[in-house]
Amino acid sequence: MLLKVDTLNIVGKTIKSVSHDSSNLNTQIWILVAIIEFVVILFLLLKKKKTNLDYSDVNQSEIKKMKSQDIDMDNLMNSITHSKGLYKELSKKCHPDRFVNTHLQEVADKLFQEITANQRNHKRLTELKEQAKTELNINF
Amino acid sequence: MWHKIIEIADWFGELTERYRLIRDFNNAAKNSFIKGIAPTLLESKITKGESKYRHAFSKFLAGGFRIKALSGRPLSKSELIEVGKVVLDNEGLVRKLISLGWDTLEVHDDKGFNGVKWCLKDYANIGGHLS
Repeated sequence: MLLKVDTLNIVGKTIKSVSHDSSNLNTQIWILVAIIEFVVILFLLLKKKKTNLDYSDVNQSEIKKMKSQDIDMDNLMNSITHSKGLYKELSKKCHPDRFVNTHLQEVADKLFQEITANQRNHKRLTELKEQAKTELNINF
Repeated sequence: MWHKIIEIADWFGELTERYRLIRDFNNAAKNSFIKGIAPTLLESKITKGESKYRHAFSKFLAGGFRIKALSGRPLSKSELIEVGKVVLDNEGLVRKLISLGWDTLEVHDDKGFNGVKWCLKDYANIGGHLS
């Protein structure tokens, strides 16, 4: 008789703990679902907000083209450190005022415009320097 | 479904491209400093950027492209502006930065509290003519 009571107690405890565990599991699942829903809503809201921003209508193929563009980093570093000095030198020596009333005036005009347009591009300025040497006969 | 998978693959590709750009910049800066071409070592890194400069491709909390000049002295504002202007004059680079999710260009020194920042949108000329 005593054994039967003990067995019943044990069975009762086991059922209680199982039901408690399952309710815990249910709560965890519902929390997980709520979190996922929250993340999805947040994602959709962000996406909607992004469509109101600039460039939202730019074509994807154009974006891919821009992403795959190669950048000459060495030229960038040279431009940061040396372009200012080179530009000053070139703009002084190739200034169109130095070639007024000569047959080189037109060439100097074009070259000066090009120099001004590329004043922070060291590679292009170096090319223009060579051009100035040959076309305007300037010694640097 | 496939569209979503491609979108996810693109997202990872973009992330790799962002870090590649940062690495290329830092390597070029390091090489030119070691060779004695550049007097100052430059370092680039990703920051959270300026929220008012956001655009459709801006990365969340990673929209800033910061160039830090490790000069060991406070740089003047004109020196910082000169560094920034060289980057901004390079239209290809600006477009690439925008397409990879950057919206702000920041130039800082390592000493002092000087810093300059620009909105990349103003220098990209996107929506006009694309070559």
